[in-house]
Parts: sequence; structure tokens; C-alpha cells
Amino acid sequence: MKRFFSFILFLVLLATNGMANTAAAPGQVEIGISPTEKSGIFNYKKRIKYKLDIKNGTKVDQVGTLYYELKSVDGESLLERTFDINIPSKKAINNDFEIPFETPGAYLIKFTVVLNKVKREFNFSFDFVTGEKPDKAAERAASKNSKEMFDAELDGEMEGEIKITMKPGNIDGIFVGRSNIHYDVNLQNTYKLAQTGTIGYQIKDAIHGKVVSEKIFDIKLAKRSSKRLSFNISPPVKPGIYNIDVSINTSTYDDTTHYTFGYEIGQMTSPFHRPDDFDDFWKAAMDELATVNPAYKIEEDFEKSTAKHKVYRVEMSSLDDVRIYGWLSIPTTLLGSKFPVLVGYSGYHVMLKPLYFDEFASFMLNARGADKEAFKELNPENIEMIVFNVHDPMKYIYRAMYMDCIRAVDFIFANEDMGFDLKRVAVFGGSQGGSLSLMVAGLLGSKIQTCMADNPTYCDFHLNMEMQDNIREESFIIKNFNRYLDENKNTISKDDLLNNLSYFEIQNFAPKIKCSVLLGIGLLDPLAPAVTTIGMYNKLNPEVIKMSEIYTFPELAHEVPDRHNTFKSIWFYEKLAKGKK
Amino acid sequence: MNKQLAFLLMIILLGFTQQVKADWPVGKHRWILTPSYTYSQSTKFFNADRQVENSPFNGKFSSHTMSLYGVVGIGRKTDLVFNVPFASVTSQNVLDKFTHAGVGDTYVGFNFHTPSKDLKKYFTVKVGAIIPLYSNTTEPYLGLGSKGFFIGSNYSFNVKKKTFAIIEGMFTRYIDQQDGPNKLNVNLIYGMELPKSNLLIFTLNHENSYSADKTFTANLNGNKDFMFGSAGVTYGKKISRTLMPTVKAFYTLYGRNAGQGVGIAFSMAIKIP
Repeated sequence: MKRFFSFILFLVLLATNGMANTAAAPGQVEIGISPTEKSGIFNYKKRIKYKLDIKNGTKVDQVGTLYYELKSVDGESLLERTFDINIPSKKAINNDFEIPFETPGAYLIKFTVVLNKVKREFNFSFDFVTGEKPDKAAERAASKNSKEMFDAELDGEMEGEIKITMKPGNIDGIFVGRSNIHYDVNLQNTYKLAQTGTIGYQIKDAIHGKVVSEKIFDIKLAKRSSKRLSFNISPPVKPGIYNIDVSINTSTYDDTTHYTFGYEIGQMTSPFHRPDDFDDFWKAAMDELATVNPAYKIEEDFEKSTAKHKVYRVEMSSLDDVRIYGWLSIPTTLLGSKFPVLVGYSGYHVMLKPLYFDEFASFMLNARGADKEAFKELNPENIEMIVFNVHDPMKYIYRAMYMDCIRAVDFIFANEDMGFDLKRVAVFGGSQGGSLSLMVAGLLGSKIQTCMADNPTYCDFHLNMEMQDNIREESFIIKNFNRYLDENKNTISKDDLLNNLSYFEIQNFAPKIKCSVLLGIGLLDPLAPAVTTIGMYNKLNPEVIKMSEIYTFPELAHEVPDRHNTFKSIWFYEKLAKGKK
Repeated sequence: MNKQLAFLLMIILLGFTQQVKADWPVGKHRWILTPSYTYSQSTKFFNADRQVENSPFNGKFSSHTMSLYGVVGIGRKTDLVFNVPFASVTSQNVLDKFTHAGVGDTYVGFNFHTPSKDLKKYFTVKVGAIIPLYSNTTEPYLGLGSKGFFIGSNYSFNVKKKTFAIIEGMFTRYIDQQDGPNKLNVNLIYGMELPKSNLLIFTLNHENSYSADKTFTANLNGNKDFMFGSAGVTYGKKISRTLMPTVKAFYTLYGRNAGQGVGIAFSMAIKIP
């Protein structure tokens, strides 16, 4: 037990201080597990230890689990453990960990590491001996299926992996028409042994996980070699988002990797869950906000101001007289003229700082909840924000938070004399911030010139819940809703919860949006699943869709690449080149 | 100094990505207008053996040119470009002085930009037509007095943060006379953004003009077969979101049948909106 907690501590330490910068290839996650005793023979002095080596070369944190199962050579399961792993982007962990087991004998142990997009399995055998060191060959041969494999392992030939990389025929992972869906597949065998086995794919619809097609091929890979394959997949019958699981099984390697593609996404449909009184609900909220004196307090922050920018801390009152604030940044070269302004909204418990643009002003709002500490004043019991007062739409934290976002635009329109060009006001944000910007664009209609949203969450809570079993990584949103339902099963049903959340579903605001929308989404996103974000996008007014654009990134989860951020600047200039008439 | 067709480069400082950009697409619905004034003169010339000689009879060839260069974003990757110059050209020596003024070689064309995957490097193809809005009835000439077309390409990229480089090649063909000429231009440009919105750009230009007409005259704008290389340095400062004035000095380093000249140009890039 003590060793078990030692290992937990070890993982925690890794998650905090024990990270090293990774030398992994950019965009790849490299995973290795090997015994500390190459012979595979442990004893009381040389405890059963394995070396865990994970290099996260991707731009996203890798979150997942390490699971191992210890079996006797007869197949009897003796010990199982699962541990959480969290490896920040561009970091690596490299450390030994101990298996808390000390009964003499021959054993098999299987490790399974599952991270965002990667699954790796490692199989080893080992002996735990007492007394005199046994004859290596004699002891080891007993626990092996064949001497050949044993010899190979002694030579290090069992160490390696088969790396799979897949690239969709269309860079955005979106396919249309009846042509085959094409993937280029590259297999790299790093073993010193030739590998024979199979590779196959399984296409599943992203919502229900129903298998729509699958295929298996035989493969042979020479030692330390690469091989290129092509998958030509018949297009699915229905438009939608599809997961493609690629499994490889060879003599010494077993792995499954996951990809996602979209098919005819412009034709995707999903039901509305719009309450009958949705418009009245939000009109009442806006009316209530209008009764609150904003009491704007605008103070220059001389520490944040620079030679090129004046930065102001702008404080204002919102619903329930809660004071919220944001950072207004105005380039000094624009002072005295009319200039566009970009209003930014934050992610979940993310505090925004001023942004320093050269050609326009920015106002970065910290709505209630952005500051987790300050939020405790409203939420002394420290209830998770996503479920705070969700039992009553009128009291749900997001009603007030949505109004905070409206108040930020109120501030711009109330202070035109500061130079804001009210015909060129844009909103933007990522994750929850993307949702908030879409909501503001919906509620404020023609006041907003363009909206840029990346991976907006909350687009369709119903679909989020419906597809939860088919998402590899349970999102914190769903996790918290499920926990909330468990804890309150006597007072609120799942239907009641979803009914309440309907008032806050971004897809219900979509038809009210009048400005262009730039939507960026990672197809692997578990927090803002592509089926929900694209479903929301398709609910925009057709006239709005004509001037809007959607960009998908099949290799990414809850993020967009740098190039999309660069494109947003192009989009912004393009859309704000001419103000609204 | 031989008169060059001024393939101007649109160099701007943009703020969103905190990068200096050069000859990138201007953006859909956006304009950049650049009025400029250029003065150049040459009192010496490179002879057929590439040796520098004084112009005969203390000769001097000079020009004052006012131009309006414009870039109009007609698509996300396509710009319409135009340049309308008004020039006053003077050829003088101890015996005579002749001046001719008027609208010179106007050009209009398109720039087609292809970005890299990360949108930080651009390959640009340029095509266009040259329309002389004058006739060469009076010396000194304002230009060759011939219609023409040009085609070329460049590759622009950030060398590191706040610096950029452009490598460009252009081919120009004048079509009214059988002897052309055909011109080849190679431009190498390196620029850097300095603190406080200042900009410094270094330019190297090489031009070869080929023609069966090998005549060399003191009326430099009428020569068809020549070669020269020049260097220039430009300083600019962004003074507001829309305005960036620049001053450029240039000098002819080497040549053949070409004037050895020096010049200075002032311009004001105006972004709209």
C-alpha cells in the first residue's frame, strides 16, 4: 500500500515539477515502457520496477491513464492498477515506478497507456526470485512461449513500436460527394524484428458509435522499416461526423489510434431544443440588465499601458449589481480618431489580460466566474460553476454571466466618445469564450459586425449528453452534469436538467445572429464535439452562412492552430474594412 | 540613369499578428494608395565596356516623377495593382537643355498570392500590362513609348520576427517594336521593423534589357540594350493606423550603356480603411 501511494505521489510530482522539456518529434507523442532489469529478473533487492518514458511533442496537454495488469503465466489476474497521467504540451516524463508485488514466481504484465489520441500496449514477462540468483535462461524460458522470443528480448529486439500516422486526403478532414474518402497511412516499425499481422479501420458515427464500415488488411513489415498504405473508404450514407479507429496487431505490437472526419457537414442536421419562451426569457434578462446602473469606472492602468497603448481597467455593474471588469487597450496612434473595437470573452475560469493590437482597440472582459477566487463570494459553497444553480434557469450562473457579456458591449456603445466606431464592433473568443461571443452576436443582432469563435462549448447540451458514451475522453462539462444528477437524483431529472440548459444552448441563439461568423473547430474536440459546433453553425440564417466560414482541423482537439489565428487577423480586417451601413 | 519601370512593393506594418508584412495580399475590400515623388539624376554613364564616363559636354539627365501607386484587394488572395506616373524629364548640357513632361508608362495588373500552410509566407505571381500615355515625338523621352506586358513572381517571408525578405524576378516585354526590348529584373529586399514603428529596408536591383537595337544615346529613356545594378535604402515610419511615409535613396552601382545615377524618393502609403 505504501508503495502504491508512492507511485501516486510520483505521478503527482511528475504532473507538477518532474517534467522535462520533450525531445519528441513535433506533433507526436512517444511512449516507452521498459523493465529496469533488462533480464526481467527481480528480487527483494532489485524490486519490480519499470521505466516510464513519455514525450509529449504536441501542442496540447496529454491527459489519460496508465493501466497495468499482472498475471500469472497461467493467465490468472493477480494485480490491476490504473493511474491518471497529465503531461503538459512539450514536456516529458521519464521515471521508474515500482509494482507492489513480491511473491516469487514467473509472471506476465501488460501495460496500457491511453492518452488523448494515442493508445499503446506493452507486454512483458518477468520473474521474481528469492535466494540465489537463478539461472537466467532456465528461469526465463519457463515463462516464455518460445526461446526465440526470449533471446530476442534479451537482445533488446522486443523494444520498439509501430508508429502510425494518417493524413486525410483533404487537409481539413472534410469530405463531400460520393468519391472515396482517402487517407495516406504511414507505418514505421522501430523493432529489430520483422512484424506480421493485420491493420484495420473501423468507421463509427460520432454520436452513437454505430459501426458503419470496417476493413482489415494483412501487413508485413521488415525490421526497422517504413511502409505506406492508402485507405480508400466508401463514403458514409448520411452526412455527419465519423470517428475512424485504426488498429494494428502484429506479433509483438497492439495499438489503436483515433481520427475523425466529417462528411457533407453542410447537410448535417440536429434537432433544436428551444424552449417556447426562449425569446421572452432573454428579453426579460436584457430588460433586467437595463435597470442596473452600469456605473462605469474607467481608470488607466499605468503599469499595463505602454508607449504605444493606453490600457484602462473598466469596471461596471451587471445583473444583481455584481461588479465586473475588463481591460480596454487603445493604440495611442488611434487616439482622436474613430477605430474598430474587438470585444473578447474568456474561457471557463480563465482571466483575460489586455491585448495589444496596433490598429484597433480591444476590450477583454472578465465576466463573473472568470476569476475563480472572486467567484467564491457568489458561491461560498464552492459549487462547480457549470452546475451552480442549474436547477433554476432564472438563477443559473450563466444567465448572469451572459448578461455580463452584453454589458461589455453596452460599455462600448455608451462610450463612443472614446473613439469606438460603433459600426465596427466585433466579438471573439475560444471555448466558453467562443460560446459567449456567439450568444452576444445572437442577442445583439446588428450591433455586432463579425463574430470569431473557436471550439465553442455549450452548443448542444442534449447532443453532448447523448454522445457521452462515444467520446474517448469524458468532458468536464458532462462529468459535472452527471455528478450533479447523481447527487440530486431525488430533486432533478436528466430531462429537467436538459430543459433548464436549453435556455443556454448556443444553437438556440444561432438563428438570431445577423453578422458573419468565423468558426474554427478541432475535429477531435471532446469538450466542443464537432457534431455540436457544426450543428450550431448549420442553424445560422442562410444569409448569414453565405458570409460566414468554418475551418476544421482534423488533427486537433480543443484548440486551433497558429495559422488559424493568423487567418483571424485577415478575417477581421476583411470584415471590418467597411463598417455596417 | 535609365528609367526603371517602378514595380513598387507594398510594404506595410500590420498590428494584429505583430508582424511586418511585405507584398502580402492587402485584403479583400481594402486599398492601399501610395502617392510618391522621385527625383533622380545622372551626370555620368557606364559605357559599353562598363566603364564610367562623364556625360559629354557636362551632360546631365534628370527626372522629377510624381506617381500614384495603388493596390486594391479584390479577393483574399488577389490584388489589383496600378501605377500612374507623371514625369518631367530634362536632358541638358552646356549647349542645350530640353524638358519633356507628361504622363508616363502607366501599368495595371494583378497579383495572385498563394500562402504557405501557416499563412506566414507567400508566393506571388504578378501579371500586368504597360500602357504608355504619351508618344515619343519630343526628346527627351518619357519612356520607350511602347505598350508591353510583364509577368513575374516573388517569394516573401519573415526571416525572423519583425524582419522580412522578398526575392523577386520579373520579365517585361515591350511589344510595339520588333526590337522590344525584353527586360529581366531581379530584386532582393530585406526589411526590418525597428522600435517605435520605424522601418528600414535594403534593396538590391539588377536589370538586364535585351534588344537588337544596341544604340546608346544621352537620351537615356530611349535606350533598349543595357544593364545596370542599383542599391537602395528606405526608411519609413508608421505615424498612424493608415499612414506611413517613407524616404528612399538609391544609387547605381554598375552598368553597361546605362546612366550612373542617384536619386531620392518620398512616398506616403495610405491604407483605406
